[in-house]
Amino acid sequence: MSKRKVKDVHLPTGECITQLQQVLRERFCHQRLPEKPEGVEAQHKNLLELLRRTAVHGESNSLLIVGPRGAGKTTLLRCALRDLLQDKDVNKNLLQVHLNGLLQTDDRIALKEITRQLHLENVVGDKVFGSFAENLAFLLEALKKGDRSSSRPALFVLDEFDLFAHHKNQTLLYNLLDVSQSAQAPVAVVGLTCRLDVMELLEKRVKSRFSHRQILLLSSLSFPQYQQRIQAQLSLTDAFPDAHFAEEWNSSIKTLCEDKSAQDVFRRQFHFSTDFRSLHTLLVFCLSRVTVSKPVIKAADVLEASRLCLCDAKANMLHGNSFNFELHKDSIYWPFSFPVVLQLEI
Amino acid sequence: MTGVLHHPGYADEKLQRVEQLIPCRELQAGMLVSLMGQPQHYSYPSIFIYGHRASGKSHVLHILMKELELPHAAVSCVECVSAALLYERVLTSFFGRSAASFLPRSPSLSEFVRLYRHQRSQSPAEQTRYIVMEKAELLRDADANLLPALLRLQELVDDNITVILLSEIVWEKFRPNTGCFEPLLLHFPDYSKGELQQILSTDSHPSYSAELYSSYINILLGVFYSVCRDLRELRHLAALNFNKFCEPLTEGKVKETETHKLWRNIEPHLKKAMQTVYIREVSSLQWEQMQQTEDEGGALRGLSAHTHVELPYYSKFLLIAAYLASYNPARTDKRFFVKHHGKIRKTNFLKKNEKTSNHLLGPKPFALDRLLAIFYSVVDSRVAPTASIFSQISSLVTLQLLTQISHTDQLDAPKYKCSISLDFISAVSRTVNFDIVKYLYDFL
Repeated sequence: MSKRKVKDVHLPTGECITQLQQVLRERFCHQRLPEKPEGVEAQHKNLLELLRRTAVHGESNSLLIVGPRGAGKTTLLRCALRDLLQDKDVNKNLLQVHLNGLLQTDDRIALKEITRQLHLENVVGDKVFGSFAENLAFLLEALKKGDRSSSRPALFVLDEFDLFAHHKNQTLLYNLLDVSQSAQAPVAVVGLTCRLDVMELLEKRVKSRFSHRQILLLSSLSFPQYQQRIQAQLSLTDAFPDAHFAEEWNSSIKTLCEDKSAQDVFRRQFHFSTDFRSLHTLLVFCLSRVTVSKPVIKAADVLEASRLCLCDAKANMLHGNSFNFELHKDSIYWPFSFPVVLQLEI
Repeated sequence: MTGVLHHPGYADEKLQRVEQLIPCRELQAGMLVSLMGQPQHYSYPSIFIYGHRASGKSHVLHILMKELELPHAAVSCVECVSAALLYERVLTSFFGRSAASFLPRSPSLSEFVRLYRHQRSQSPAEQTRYIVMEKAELLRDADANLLPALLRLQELVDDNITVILLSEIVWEKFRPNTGCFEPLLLHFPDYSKGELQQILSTDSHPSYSAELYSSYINILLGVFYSVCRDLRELRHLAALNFNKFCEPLTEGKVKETETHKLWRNIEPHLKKAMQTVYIREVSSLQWEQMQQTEDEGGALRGLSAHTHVELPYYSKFLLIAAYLASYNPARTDKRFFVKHHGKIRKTNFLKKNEKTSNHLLGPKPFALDRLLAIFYSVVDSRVAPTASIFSQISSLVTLQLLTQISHTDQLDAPKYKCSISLDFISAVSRTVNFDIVKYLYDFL
């Protein structure tokens, strides 16, 4: 049955390349979620369990996901959310508020955004509130009057958590964590940050209301694991329309990963950084060199891509400088100033 | 397929047209096109392109966007003095004027993203949308959250959008403290000599043959290439001096083929123009007029001689004193300004590094006392140290003829440096009949 299906969908190479580019570009450029999280299964399970406790049992929680840039914090959270929302009951019930420290630069904007994301603009109307806490309490109160007698669980995701700590008096953080601490409404507060010292940024009263749960994403990959990750990132899945092409592609990737010079490049990249994002940068350069006439990635492409990734920008700029500083004078002490150099030039 | 550019996402005719419009930048354009990928695919969220001035960054991007008919917003960061203007420009180019009218007064980034998401849900991107930001280094002066947010705009607005930043400085100088989304880095190298020749030869004069113009460019590059590789400046110079080059032709003295004679004719003019590369002290019109008058006078003068500053009488002497203090070693003061100083031979008494010309080493700082001491000895009449003298010193600092070295809150012994050239000071001293060269240690 499946054999016949394969024959039916044999696409021309040009079409295959287009499809390939689409799939891989979504993976590298758009951070398309993987089927299951790689290398962070334990953290994923932990996070999922915690979120489920809020969504199903109405338990309040707070948590920080800490890891360097490009380590996969957002991917981990989004994976967990996706898995969580597969549960129909949860999907209907859970309210999500996504805030980003880059966008919501002060608490007034943040509160407006929360109101909007909870669809409570009409309820709030023209009411005037005395304080931030009052306003937030009102919002959460309004959620209680849904169709259920108890209130609906709300999930607050704070991306770039450290930036929220710079807001005046940390009002937003204080109130959110206060709500999560004092069983008013089931609220889960998940912060994502790249600063390991984020705890130091919090005021004492805020810190004491935080549960001190942290998920650390510090990758401790070995090189073979890293190589496997590269292979997994580049491989096509069974969902690819032309199974024959996918098979060929996957085997070519396998040979690429076993190639000596490509391995050298990957090893250098591995020592440089092991996060997803720098790998994606490298692979995008590789991918951009795949064409219809050359539907494989060769070791030379990887070499060229790494050259582009790791090139020294300052040296590049100096290379093209208008003046050729050719100061091959004797190595004795020789004070140079601009007039000296210019004199030498002319 | 003859062209270098070839991509399945775009029609070959369009790419060929692009190739004709961007001479010597095919490689970079090809790279860019392959990174951008097919229009309906996702592209990398942000691309950072750097290279020197006039290396074709904006031009390549502009041509690519225009000829390939990609949806884009071209934004110059110089124009966008406030972030609101930037948001408005982006929304207008993608969703029409009506979309931008929803922006509130002084919108925050949050509101921009919300509005963008709202518009996007109505008209989702079928092709990658591009925001091209020129002079991106100015973004560093904007709100701290703007640059990191722009770099990951694709994620924030959840749309197929790519932000392309163009800058003359390297990415390392952009990176915020806590890091941010790393863009793809692309370098545009300078044009080589051959490439400059090729590009400059394209704008030949209609009434002369292309070969003549090309040989003219060859001469021009031979003179200027060592000091200036900026295409824009070279183009300006080429246009400025071409009439002079053609003068013997129009007068009928030489034929087009006699390049050597033409070269002999133009060379002194080019040498003269060399002094004013980049400076543009005068407008092109004035320059042409000057060329006319100098032909009659016969003297070749540099352009710098045309600048002069009118100063009060004592200010001139103060400036002379400052120049002497800056360029003479302090130990030689006795010899220049004391009447009976006895014989001192030039060489032996100075340290080794003082033997190199002081003019090459640049001005040295000096204290106010020394300046005044020299001033009293060079000025003819007796001058009282009044407030007017001191205020003239501070106005020289304001005019940037002197530079104050020490901190401004140090009142008792301020230090200065003289920041003018020898040409300037000789011109000034000539007006007060003071022979400065006699008092300079370097010229003994």
